[in-house]
Amino acid sequence: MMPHNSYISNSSLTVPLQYISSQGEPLTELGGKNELPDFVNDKALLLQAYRWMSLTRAFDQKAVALQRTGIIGTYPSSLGQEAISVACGMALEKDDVFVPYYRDHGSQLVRGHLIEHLLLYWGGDERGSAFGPASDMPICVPIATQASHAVGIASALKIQQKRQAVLCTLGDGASSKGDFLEALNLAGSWHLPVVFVINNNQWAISVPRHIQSGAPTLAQKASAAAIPNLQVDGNDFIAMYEVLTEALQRARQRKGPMVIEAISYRLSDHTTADDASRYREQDEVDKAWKNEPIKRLQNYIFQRGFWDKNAEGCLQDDCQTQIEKSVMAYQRIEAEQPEAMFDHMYQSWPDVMDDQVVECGEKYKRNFLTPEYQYSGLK
Amino acid sequence: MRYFKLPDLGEGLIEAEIVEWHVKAGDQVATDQLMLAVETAKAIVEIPSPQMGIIEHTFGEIGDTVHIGEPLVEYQGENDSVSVVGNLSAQPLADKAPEAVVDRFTVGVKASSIAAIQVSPSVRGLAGRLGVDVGQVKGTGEGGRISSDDIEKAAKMNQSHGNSEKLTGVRKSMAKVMVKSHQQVVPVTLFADVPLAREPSDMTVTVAKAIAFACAKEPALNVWFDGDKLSRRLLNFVDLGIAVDTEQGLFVPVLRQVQERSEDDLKAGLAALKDAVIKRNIPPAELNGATIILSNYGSLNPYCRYGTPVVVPPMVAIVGIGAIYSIKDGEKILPISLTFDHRCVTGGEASRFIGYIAEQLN
Amino acid sequence: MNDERLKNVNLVEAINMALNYSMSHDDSIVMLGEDIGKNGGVFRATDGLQDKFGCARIMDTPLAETSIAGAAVGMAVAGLKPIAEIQFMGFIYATLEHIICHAARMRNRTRGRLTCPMVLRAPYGGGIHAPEHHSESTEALFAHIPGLRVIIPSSPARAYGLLLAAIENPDPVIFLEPKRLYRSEVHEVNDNGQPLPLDRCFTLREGEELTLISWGACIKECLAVVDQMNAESGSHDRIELIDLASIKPIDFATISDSIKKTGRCVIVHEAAKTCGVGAEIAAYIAEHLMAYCKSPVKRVTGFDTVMPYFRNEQHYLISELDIKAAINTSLNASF
Repeated sequence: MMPHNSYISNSSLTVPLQYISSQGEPLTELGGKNELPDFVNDKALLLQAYRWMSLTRAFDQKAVALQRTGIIGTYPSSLGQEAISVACGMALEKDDVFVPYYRDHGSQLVRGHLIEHLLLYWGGDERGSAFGPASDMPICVPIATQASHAVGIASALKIQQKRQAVLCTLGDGASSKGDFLEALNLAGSWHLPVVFVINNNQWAISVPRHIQSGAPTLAQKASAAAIPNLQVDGNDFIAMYEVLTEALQRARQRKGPMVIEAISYRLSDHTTADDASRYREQDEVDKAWKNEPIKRLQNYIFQRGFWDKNAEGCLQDDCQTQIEKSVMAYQRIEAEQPEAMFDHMYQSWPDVMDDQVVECGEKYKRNFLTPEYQYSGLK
Repeated sequence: MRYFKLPDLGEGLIEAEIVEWHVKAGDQVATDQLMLAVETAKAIVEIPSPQMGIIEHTFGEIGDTVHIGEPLVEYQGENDSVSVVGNLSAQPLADKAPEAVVDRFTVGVKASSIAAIQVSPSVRGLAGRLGVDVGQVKGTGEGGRISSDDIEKAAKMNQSHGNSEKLTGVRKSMAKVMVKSHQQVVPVTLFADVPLAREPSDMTVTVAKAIAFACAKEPALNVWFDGDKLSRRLLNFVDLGIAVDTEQGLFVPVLRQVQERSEDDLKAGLAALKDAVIKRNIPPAELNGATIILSNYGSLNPYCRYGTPVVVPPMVAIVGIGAIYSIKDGEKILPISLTFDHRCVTGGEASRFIGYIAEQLN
Repeated sequence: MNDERLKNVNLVEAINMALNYSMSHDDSIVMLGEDIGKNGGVFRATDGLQDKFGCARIMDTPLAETSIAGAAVGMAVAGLKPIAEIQFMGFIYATLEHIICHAARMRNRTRGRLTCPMVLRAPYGGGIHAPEHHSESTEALFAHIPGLRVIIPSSPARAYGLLLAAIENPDPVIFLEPKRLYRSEVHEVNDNGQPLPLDRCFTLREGEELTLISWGACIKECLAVVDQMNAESGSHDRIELIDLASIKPIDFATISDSIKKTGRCVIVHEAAKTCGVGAEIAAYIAEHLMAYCKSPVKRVTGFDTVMPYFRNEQHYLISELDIKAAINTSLNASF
């Protein structure tokens, strides 16, 4: 049961909430006070989480490989942060609104996005943002701007007297932005049904956590807005899932917003175009690997007798099969026509600018339909 | 990218053992070309190159274990990926450091020698419709601006008097040269009737040799004169400009070193020059540097005898010869017209010069 | 001339050289931005500078563009010469309030008592297969603001000289660096600290029949087209190529002289058409140079759409063939 007094106390005085150790052992057995939540006895739930996390990692690693071989563009890996995204995805209800940033691949998969559509996005095709739950926001690149959007959506839900809640994710870097602080202020002032999850993976490209802010925790930035907040071990799925389900429940019950700082580590480079070895030491990364979330949950479900080597082998095979099929499906999707760039600028493209559409067609003929044009590399 | 690192090969495995290298340092590889084989817990996997390039260095020997994210291959010539987004490498990889390209630019723009014609678009349109070349029209407006009246007047003129044709090529340069000459030279022409001992087979060549002889005897007519600085350069060789008439206009190719060449050699040389002029492939150098000019206008018309040919600075003399005519006793006479620049040459020098020509022809 | 100072560098290295030179000679110059310190900038523009000048002068900021711009205004007013880096033009919009309301107006609203000698640098433009929002060309936004200077270099030598000039300039300068050109070519640049004039165009090629005006990454395609056409033309070079370089203020004197000579003009810019900077040049020509024009001004620009995400960006970006077609149309057109 999540300690309730951590809702309103200064989170810098508490230790991040954690139920299982880095090795996957319940802390209660190691002398810890917190009783594991009841859902740890729900084998189906834990296995579902474990499967999603494994699929997320397999997809993530495949995406990196696809970028290395030129099939998709720059891609931000979520390696080591799978517990956060899967817990978010599973805690959300179907009609809740998810407002992600760009490292939430796990949540997107849980929310029903197809792998080939995620690849479509990272492969440079806007149609990738056209799929998934109808009300979810698309991936957000301008940092922290999604926080203000989340607040707007939460306001709308309240005005429309709907019972759903909004979950907004952001990174540690984003917590420095004005948008985040303004969003917190508004959420607190208007008492909005929004939960913010800060994925504190310790690095904002090359800027480490201690330069990002002088505050002891990022969560406590919410205190200035009188928003309950706490830190959680982001690599502990059990802790994450408990906190998120309760926070979202609370929001749906119109008891107000919450900020959860999930402590994790970015085991990969910022994106496939970054080279983290320029600014951080390998042994720091090696140490962080010891806390990684999938191994932890795996050890726990092994211990509980919910899982075995056989099941693990099958799961890995299934993941690979699923991913291979999706990659092939992605590669069969042809690029849009050049004129597609005019399709969705307005509901309908203004007649008075039709000459540009004509020009676009002529430009295409001129550049790509000449006999000299033999380049087949462009898709 | 500079470093290619071991990508995840799937299956949740984080390391692999190098089994075989297919490439080595110095090799040129193509995209997707297989570089090495590694063994994971489950299988042997071939790893392709993600880009075209030249291998600078390979990491790891057969039997070594490599972890995901560790470098396998370093490519030549590339720095690190240099960006957290996108692909900055626009250059195909070179096998050495990229060569510096010359970057030429000037601040602002150079003032132009081309005169700017001012005419508004609507007037231009009118000119187009009336078939008038705006470059030919003199504008009566402020600053030389061309108005529609100007265009209409020009159109009427074209109708009644035919279109005006813009001079180009040698006609254009002739107009310019003649104006310059007229502005600078003080011309005096001496006429002479020179009896010929015999009529030569090639009048031009024979006279050319005679001129060379005269130049040696009376060098004052074979100089380059600077009218601004009032200095003259006495030349000890004769490069004779020969006026050649063509459809395009007047060309003056130059016979070099006439003083030391035989008549046959000069004949051949002259024929070659004329041929090049007619074929329009004469190099500009062959039209420059004459020290004195010979114009045989008599060869074009049996009635032409005398003329006042124009001296072209920096030269100081030009020899014109008319058609040979006979007098009562059958003697053949060659009419010679010598124009000289009286700024630099005296009547006496000119007169003696003709005398020496006559001596050779007699 | 000291030959040791001649270096073969690409555009981003030339930027690094200029930053290094100016910071070595003026202690009041400081830099602030994200990832500019240890990482040397995401494009390595500030590589090695923190090691050389220290953390007090090369400051890694938290992730907050608004306060990067705001802090720069404050630093500039207080007597420093700050060079603020915004990681991509796509993230520059958070700075607009400080740039427009404060940097551009400080001198004016205090009647010269306070000034704002800052430089705001950002990589700009598309064509590098980048994620969304990383390919912006919205220089027109800044060009519209009174009190700002906007500079866009197109070669290593010009980047070096113009950045030095921008840093020395007592007014706020927006310095936009075409990222597609960052590493595309290597030129010889003299690291002698010589600034180039701001508010002047550069004539890259002289010609007699048509004036081609462009800036930024499009200069690359323009040069290729112009060199090819001039090589083919025989008796004289036909196309004059002008690198605008100073987007605000525009050197209309140079443009004027050129158009009086050639009588034809084609303007090329990657940015969208409506109210792009090309419109300003075309308007000037209509106001002052109509009488010298042999054919209408032609603009080759991006469409009035968001630049397509990179899979289809080649249908938006301007190609050599597009430029050549516009030039030929202009050469054959008349009123």
